[in-house]
Amino acid sequence: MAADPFWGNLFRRSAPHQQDLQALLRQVPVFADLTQRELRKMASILHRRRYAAEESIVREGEQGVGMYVILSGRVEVLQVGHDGAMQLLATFGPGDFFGEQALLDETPRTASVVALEACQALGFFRTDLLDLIEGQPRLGLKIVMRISQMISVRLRHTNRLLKEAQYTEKGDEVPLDPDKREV
Amino acid sequence: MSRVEKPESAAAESKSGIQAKIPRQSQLPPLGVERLEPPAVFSNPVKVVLGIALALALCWFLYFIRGILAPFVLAFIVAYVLTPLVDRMEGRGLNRTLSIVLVYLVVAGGMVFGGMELTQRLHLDSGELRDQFIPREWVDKQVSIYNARTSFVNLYGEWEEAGGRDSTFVLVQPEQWPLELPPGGQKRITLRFAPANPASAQAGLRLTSPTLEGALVLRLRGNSFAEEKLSPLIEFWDQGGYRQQVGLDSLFFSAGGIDFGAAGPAPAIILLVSEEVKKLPEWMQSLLGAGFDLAEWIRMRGGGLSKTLLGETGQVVSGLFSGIAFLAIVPFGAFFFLREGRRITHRLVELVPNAYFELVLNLIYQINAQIGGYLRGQLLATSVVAILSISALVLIGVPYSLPLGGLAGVANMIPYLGPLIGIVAASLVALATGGGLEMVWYIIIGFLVVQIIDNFLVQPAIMAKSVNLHPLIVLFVVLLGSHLMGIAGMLIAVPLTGILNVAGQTIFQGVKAYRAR
Repeated sequence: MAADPFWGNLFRRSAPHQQDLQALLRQVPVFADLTQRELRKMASILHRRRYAAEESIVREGEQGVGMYVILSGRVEVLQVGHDGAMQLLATFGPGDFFGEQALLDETPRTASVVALEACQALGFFRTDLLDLIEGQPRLGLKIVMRISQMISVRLRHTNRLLKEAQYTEKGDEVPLDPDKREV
Repeated sequence: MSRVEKPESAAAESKSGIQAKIPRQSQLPPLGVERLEPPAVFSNPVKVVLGIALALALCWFLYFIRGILAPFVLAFIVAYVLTPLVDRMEGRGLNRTLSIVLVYLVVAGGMVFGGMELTQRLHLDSGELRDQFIPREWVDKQVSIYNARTSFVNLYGEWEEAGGRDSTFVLVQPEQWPLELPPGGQKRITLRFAPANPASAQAGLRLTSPTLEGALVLRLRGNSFAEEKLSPLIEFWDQGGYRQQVGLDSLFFSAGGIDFGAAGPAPAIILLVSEEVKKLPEWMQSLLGAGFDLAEWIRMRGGGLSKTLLGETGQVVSGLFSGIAFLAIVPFGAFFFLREGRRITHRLVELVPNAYFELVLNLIYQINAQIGGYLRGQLLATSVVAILSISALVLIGVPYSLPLGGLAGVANMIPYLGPLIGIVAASLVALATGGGLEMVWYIIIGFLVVQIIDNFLVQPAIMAKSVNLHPLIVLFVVLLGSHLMGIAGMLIAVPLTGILNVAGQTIFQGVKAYRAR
């Protein structure tokens, strides 16, 4: 996005800012195998957000609208546990994503995500995805496919851990799987 | 500016299994609550007061510049309607700018080729309509007669069938017969059309001369909508006798038949309605002014209904923009809204603080879905109602079916009142053109049928069209709209209220959700 809205729009050439974003996107697994053109399209769809340390990115219970990909900084995933205390589920860094469930259906957030330090994240939202699927089905499908693969990997991992947990026979006190982060 | 699935209210979301296990807020540890709570805006009275003051100032400002706003709002609406089309084309791999240009070309082409005839016809009709409604007591027309014969001709005139001194057509000049025409002489016959009612009338003035055999009949008509021209000379028999501009040895007539156009006392119903309006208190008149006093409009502005519609908007705009500027701004603005729409919203959303980011995004999408559905639905409903109304009017035989049906279609956007406007306008025209009460009944029945079709077949198909507003609120905002911005205001009022309604509800729910946690 160019600095000057008028002339920038008239003579649009990928501003350095935007090229940055495209380079960053390429490093994110979800967008790794997109073409240059598709990356440019994604860059125009995604919302780039900056968060200060301690600021929450999503809040548990709130209606989610989409997923976030971390560009820089670290975040922690927190959930209110059985005893009402906050439980740390996981810590994410650059390239990780969370909230993909909200991308696929409108569910309330199942955990909160809080920035540990100053962070940058990209928001990718359900309605934009739906538009994308309608307008550019090929690109939309690529992304949905990619996200599904990642979810399936996580699910497999979770299943394995669940099985292990059943074998350890500890009943109530099984700690919540860090990968069962249905954020 | 994107299309969205049907919005689901935040309250209607289902709780997942995991969610249900989470303890109520009372059990939450203070630390976690503190850490996750969004900044409390509504607890700070200074901020609340400041916010309200700012909102009021903004409202005042918007009211103040409402004249300039109109073309931009229109541009936005145009862009809104065309966005899905451009999106689709872009999805096919076309450049967005190119897609917009293509859409523009198609729309412009359609307007020029398809619409030219229609607009011409509308214009023509409106012009005639104006003649129709300006109450003129009488119309005088003249026929000049030139004697190219070498002898004197004494002309005697007498009325055929219905005619004569007390009738619709009056002979003004000559005061008495015969009319003496010396060789090479020229005389005038002045005829007056002064009907006592707006019904169509015709008559014939039979001219004879003792020195010539046979007769010439000047055909006269008034308040008639017959398309065909009156034949210049109805009867002539003598080769050297009565002729219009033919032959050397004859009488020349400047016209053989006269169409007087429209005249007559103002239709009673128009007078009645405007008298009634005049009896209302002044403040109420001003409220009704632009919107309701249809009769006064037609009378004052000559019934150019389509023109009046644009004229009202124009009046608001004219303070700063001429009509041409208006016409230039709308496509120009629409172009940029179409091209940059996504980026504009993107940038606006970027400004939103993190705490409200998702709420705002949600809000935008819901409003988007509402407006988009509403506008597209309205467009469809308007065309359907307009086409049905035009067909009905043509079947009934009401003149000016095209502008009247178009008006009915557009007015239909205004709930409750719209259909009434269509009926009243068509009935006024029917009465004014001598259709009689019978025709008014047909019109009412015809429009009721259109309404039934609209309500039971069209509306259910356009679910998003309903804005779910209380009739009283609709009435109020429509009046308010007509007060502030005339006809354009009336049309904008309901969708705007719908938008505000959705926005308000979504914000309210969002804030409630924040506080509940």
